[in-house]
Amino acid sequence: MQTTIVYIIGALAVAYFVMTIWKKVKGQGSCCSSGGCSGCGSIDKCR
Amino acid sequence: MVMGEKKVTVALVGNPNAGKTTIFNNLTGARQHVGNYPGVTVEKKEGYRKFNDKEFFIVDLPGTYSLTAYSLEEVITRNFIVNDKPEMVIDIVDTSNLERNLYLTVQLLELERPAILALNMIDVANSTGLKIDDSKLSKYLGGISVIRTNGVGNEGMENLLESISKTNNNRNFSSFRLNYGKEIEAAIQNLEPLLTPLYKNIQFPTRWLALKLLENDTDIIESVQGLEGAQQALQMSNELRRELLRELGEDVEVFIAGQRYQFVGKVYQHAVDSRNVNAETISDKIDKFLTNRVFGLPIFFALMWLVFNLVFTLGAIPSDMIDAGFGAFGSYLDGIISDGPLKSLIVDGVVGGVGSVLVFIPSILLLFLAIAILEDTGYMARAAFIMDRVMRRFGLHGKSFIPLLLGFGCSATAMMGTRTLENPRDRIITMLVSPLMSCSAKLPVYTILIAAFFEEKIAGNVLFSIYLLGIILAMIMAWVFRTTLFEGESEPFVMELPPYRVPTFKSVLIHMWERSTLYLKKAGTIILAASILMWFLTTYPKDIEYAKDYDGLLAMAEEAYSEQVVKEVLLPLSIEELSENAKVATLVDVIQQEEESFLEQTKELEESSSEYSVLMAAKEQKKQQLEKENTEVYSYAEKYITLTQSLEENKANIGNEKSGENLEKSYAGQFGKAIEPAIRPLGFDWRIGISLVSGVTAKEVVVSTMGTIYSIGDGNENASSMTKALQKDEHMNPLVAYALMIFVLIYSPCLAALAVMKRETNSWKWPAVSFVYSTTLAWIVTFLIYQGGKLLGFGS
Repeated sequence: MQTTIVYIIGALAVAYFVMTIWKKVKGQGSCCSSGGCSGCGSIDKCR
Repeated sequence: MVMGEKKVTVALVGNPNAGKTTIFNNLTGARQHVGNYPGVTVEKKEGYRKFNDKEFFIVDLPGTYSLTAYSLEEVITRNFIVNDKPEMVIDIVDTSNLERNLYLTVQLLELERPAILALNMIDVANSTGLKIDDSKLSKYLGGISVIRTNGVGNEGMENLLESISKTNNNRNFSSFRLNYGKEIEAAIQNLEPLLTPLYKNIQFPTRWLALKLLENDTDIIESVQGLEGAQQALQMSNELRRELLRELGEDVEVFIAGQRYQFVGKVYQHAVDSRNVNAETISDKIDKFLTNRVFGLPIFFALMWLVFNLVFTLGAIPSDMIDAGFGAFGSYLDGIISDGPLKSLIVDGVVGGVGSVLVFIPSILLLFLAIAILEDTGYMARAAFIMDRVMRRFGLHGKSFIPLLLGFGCSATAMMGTRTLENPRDRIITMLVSPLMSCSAKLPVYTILIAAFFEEKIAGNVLFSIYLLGIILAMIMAWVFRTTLFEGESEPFVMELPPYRVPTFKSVLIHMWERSTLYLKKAGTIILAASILMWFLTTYPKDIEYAKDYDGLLAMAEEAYSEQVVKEVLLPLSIEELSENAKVATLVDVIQQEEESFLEQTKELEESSSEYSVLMAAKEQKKQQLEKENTEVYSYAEKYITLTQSLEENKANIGNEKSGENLEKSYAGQFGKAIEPAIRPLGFDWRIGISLVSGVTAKEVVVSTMGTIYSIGDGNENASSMTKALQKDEHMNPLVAYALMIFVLIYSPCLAALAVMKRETNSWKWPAVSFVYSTTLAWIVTFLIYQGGKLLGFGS
C-alpha cells in the first residue's frame, strides 16, 4: 500500500515539474495575438 | 456586478517613478511591489475597484517618458492605450518635476482618450515651495480635470474616483490640440483625408496617426501597412517628410518633439509659480554626501556589507529555532508512521528536503527588509547612479543596474527587468550577467555552509565576499561580452534621482509579505516536487548487491557483545542476567540517566566553553560520588555501560555504511559517481555533484537535495540538523565549503530564469549560451580558488 502511494506521489511530482517548465517557456498562453496583451506577460506578439 | 453592467477600463499612465503603482494599490487594495526608483513596473498590472455603483477595471502600466516606441515598456503602454482603448486614462505626474512630466501628458491628450491629470506627490511639490494654478493648467490642456493626490499618504483617492466617475458619465473628450506650426499643420491636413478611410480598421485618431507617420514611427507604419488604402497614405507621408526636412532644416521627429517641449515650457510658465522654490532641497544636501565622487562607492559597499552581516547574524537566531522545530517534527513523524517507503519519503524526502529550505525564511525576509528600505528611501536610485561610473568602464549600460539589482531577489525577475533597456545588445548582455548577482534562492546554500564551517565573527564577511565576487564577475563578463559578442559603445544613461523619502511601514511590509509568500509557494510547489523526485532517485533501485553482508555483521556485533558481557560482567558477579543483581542494575540506570542528562544539557554547547566545563566537572563529581558509595560493584556497572555504548556505535556505523552504499548505488548515486571526475578537481564529491545538478531546477534545491542525501545517508531515519551532518562529513572543510558557494554563485541560472530568457529573447540560443558560459566560468573560478587555497595550506 505504502509503495503504491509513493509511486502516485512520484508521478504527480513529475507531472507538476513538466507542466511548470512548459508554462514558463510558453508564457501564459497566446493571448497577445488578439485584443492586446491582457496580462499574458508575453511581449513578443504585442507589436 | 449586475449582469450586463459594463466595466469602465481605467489606465494609469505616467513617467517612471511618478507613483502609479502606489496609486494603483490605493485604488484597488492590491499589494503590487512599489519602489522609489524608475522601472519597477515592467508588465501591466490589473485590479478592480467599485465606486458609486460602478465597477472600474484599473490597469497600471509601465512608466514611460514618451509614447514613441523605443523601449519595450513604451510599447506596452502605447499599445494598451491605442489598441485596448481604455474608457479613461489617468495621467499620474510627479508634481515636483511637473515640466518634464507634462511632455507625456501632451502625447496622451493627442490620443484623444478621456483623461484626468493627477498631480501626484503634491506634498513634495508643496514642501519645495512650488505653487500650481490648477485651473490654468486645465485650461491650457484642453479642459482636462486636474486632481491633487499624494499616493504615499493615500490622499486624494476619493476625488480621483469621483472625477473618473464624472468624466466617464459626461464622456467629454479633451478639446486639446497643439499647433505644430504652419508647415506641419499643412502636412497633417494633406494626410488626414487619406487616413480617414483607415479608421474603421484601426480606429487610431486620424490627426495622431498623421503625426506618427510624419515622425516616421516604424511601429505605426508596420501596423497600417497591410490595410486597404494605406499605401497611398504612406507614399504621401514619405514625400511630405522629405519636403518638411528641406523646409525645416531638421528631422521632422526632432522638430515635432521640440514643438511639444516649447508648448510644455509655456504651460509651465503660465500655470506654475516656482519663484519660491528652494534652490537646494534636503535631498540635494544628502546627495552631496551619498553620491560624492570619492565617498559614494565606499558608502555603497559599506551599506552592502552591513546588510549581509545583519542578514546573517540576525537571521541565524530564528533559523536555529525553525531548524530545531523541523528536527522535532521529523522525529515525531518517524514515531507515528509505520516503517516503509512512505515514511522514508515523508521524513527524509519531504521534511528533510523542504524543511531544510524553509529554515532560511528569516534570512530571506531580512534581506528583503533591507532592500525594501534602501529602495523606498530612494537610495537604490543613487546606487545606480554611483555604479554607472563603474559599469560604464565595463561596457554595461547604467540603466542595467536596476535589473541587476532585481537580480539580488530573483534572476527571472531581473531578466524581465531588462525590458527598460532600449538597446537589444545592452539587454542581452544584462540578461547574461544578471544571474551573477546572487539571487535570494542561493542565500540558503551560503547560510548553511557558512554556519557549518566558518566562525560566527567572520560569517558576515564571508557572505559579503560571495556577493562582492558576483558583482565583480558580472562587470568582468559584461566587458568580455561587450568586447567580443556585442562590440560597440553603450548608450548614455539618463536617470532621474527621486527625492529621499521615509519608507512607509505598509510598503516595507508589502514587500516582505510578497517575498515570503513567494518563497513559501516555491517551497510548497517546485521545491517539494524536486525533493520528492530526489528522494526517488536517491532511494531506488532497491534490489542492489551489497559489497558486505551487513545483516551478518550486525549479528556478529551482537554476539561479540553478549560474550563480552557474560565474560567481563555477569560471570565475575556470578549472575546470568544483570537484573539478578539489583544494586548493579540500579547503578547502571543511574549512570545512564546521568549521561543522557549531560548530553541533553550540552548539545548546544562548544566543548571549549566554560559552561561545558562546569557541567563536565559536575558529571565527574557525581560519578566519583557513585563510585565511593558503590565501591564493590561500580567497575562492573561502568564496564557494562561501556560495552553497551560500543555495541550501539557499532550498529550505527554498520547502518550508516549500509545506507551509504544504498545511496551510492542509487540512480542519483550512479549519476553522481559518473560526473565525479569532472568535479573532483574542485574538491567536490559525488553527493555535492548530485545537489548541484538538481539545483538547476531551483537554487534552493541544492540545499533540499543535500538535506535528503544527508538524511538518507544518516541511516537512522531521523531528520538530523544539516549543519551537524555537514560538519561530520569527512569530505567537507572550510575550503570545499567556500569553493561550493562560489560554484553555486556562478553556475547555470535556474530553469525558471532560463525559460524567461528564452521568452524574452524569443530564442533558445541565449539560454544555451548562458548555461554553457556560466557553468564553464563557475568551473574555472572554483578550480582556481580551490587549488589555490590548497597550495596556500587551507582545506586540511
